[in-house]
Amino acid sequence: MPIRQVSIFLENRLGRLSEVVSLLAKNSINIRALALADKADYGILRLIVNDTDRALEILRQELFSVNETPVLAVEVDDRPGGLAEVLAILVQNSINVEYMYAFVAKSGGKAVVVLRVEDLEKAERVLSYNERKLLREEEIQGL
Amino acid sequence: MPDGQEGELVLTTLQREGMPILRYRTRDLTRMIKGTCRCGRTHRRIERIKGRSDDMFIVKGVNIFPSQIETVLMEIPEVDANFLVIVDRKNGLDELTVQVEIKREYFTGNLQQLRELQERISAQLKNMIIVTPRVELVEPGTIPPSTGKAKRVIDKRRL
Repeated sequence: MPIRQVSIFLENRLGRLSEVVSLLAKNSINIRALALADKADYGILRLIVNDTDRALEILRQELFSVNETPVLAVEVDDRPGGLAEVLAILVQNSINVEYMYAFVAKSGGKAVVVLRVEDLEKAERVLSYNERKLLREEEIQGL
Repeated sequence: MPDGQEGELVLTTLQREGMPILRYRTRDLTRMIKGTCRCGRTHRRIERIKGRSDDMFIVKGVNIFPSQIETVLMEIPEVDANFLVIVDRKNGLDELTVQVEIKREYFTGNLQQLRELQERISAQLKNMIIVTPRVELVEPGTIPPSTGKAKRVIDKRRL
């Protein structure tokens, strides 16, 4: 099942990223995975945190433009070719990856990647069918 | 100016003698309206002031009024009507940048959607002002609100 990613609109301004991260730090929210998509004038910060509801609440209070996006967290073997195998499964089933990034922590000796695809349900189905482990939100909190 | 056509409001007092005003240029843009008002007044009226003639700026030889940009932005639900125009000149060419605030509730976290929004705003502005501007999205609340005479055009060109 999908997990929730926190997406934040960030203007390209000195210190803006640092403001978000400090705010989360002050509220004891731990960042599990993060990616920054940038254009010249703005970017989107994507976060997987240990307490999604609280992170959304705090960011909204501080008037950030935030939203939650469903993504998949997939376990990947931590060896050369581990990621390639997972992506091959998606390609075979013509599932397009919009973006992906990796986790900081490992899950049971395995690496974890966050995947955002167009058809989440289908991706979930084919990954499970190929015996790939998808992490639930509770599992990520415990990582 | 004929009735109904837009121009700059110029004032002349008809009765003062000690301190008259002669063709005082207000720099306010408006037009004369003939006919009876809904309130019953039959005298000629002036329309609500549209902008100031000294607000006008020229980019690539085209005259542009900030009020034209505002009119376009008001039609786009995803952004605030508040904006900032930056005019610059690079390699001898004018560049027009319009910064707009994206409304919080329209941010979905999808980059593609933001890109499409930028393109749509740029195209609609082009329809109005002929010049294609670069549209930049900024966070809500970062552009100072326009209180009457707020500076909404920053011209960095050294002409």
